[in-house]
Amino acid sequence: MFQNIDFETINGKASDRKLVFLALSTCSFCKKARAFLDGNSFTYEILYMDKIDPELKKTLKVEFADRFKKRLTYPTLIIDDKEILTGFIRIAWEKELLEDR
Amino acid sequence: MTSKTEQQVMAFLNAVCGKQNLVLNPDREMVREIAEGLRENYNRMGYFCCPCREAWEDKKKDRDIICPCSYCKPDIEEFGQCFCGLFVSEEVRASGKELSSIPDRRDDNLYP
Repeated sequence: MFQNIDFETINGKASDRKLVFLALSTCSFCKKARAFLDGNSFTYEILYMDKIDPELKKTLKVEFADRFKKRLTYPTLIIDDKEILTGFIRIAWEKELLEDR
Repeated sequence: MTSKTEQQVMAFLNAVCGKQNLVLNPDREMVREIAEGLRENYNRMGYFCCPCREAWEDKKKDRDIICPCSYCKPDIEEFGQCFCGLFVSEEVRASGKELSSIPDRRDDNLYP
């Protein structure tokens, strides 16, 4: 999903899963989530939705809602194009991303 | 439209706490980040729109998410914090626990 989008790639040591991080640049829970990804050295793609063209944003939101059957909220982490973590709840992110690592 | 400085945003937040009997999150770094988000939104939109929600950038449509938002007090009552984590209950303030995201009380239909 999200073909031809100009994501910024953050390179970390852990790159076994494809992580796409959608956030608002002004949101503190998005900052916490990003610090979690950076602190655990994940490779991920990031897009600040409040910094992109409004038409592109609409398209992405529709694509997201079609795929995951819910409204895009922030922060959202898409894992391998299949699963999502929404909101930053540290214990949930640790369970999903750090267990069995 | 005049722009706000970080000090002005903090003065606004302290005044809101006094007038509405709200309690600021004791995590100063988190408050500073949220205040910076509010400042950026004010300087772009002209009002203190919630920094953790997507905005219409239309004051009438965003009216219920202008800080302190319409959902702030019920969220503090139910979850001990508001949606963005700026305001907390007295119990949460005393506990010093790290805040997490909470469900959004705002109806999906009100979003862009």
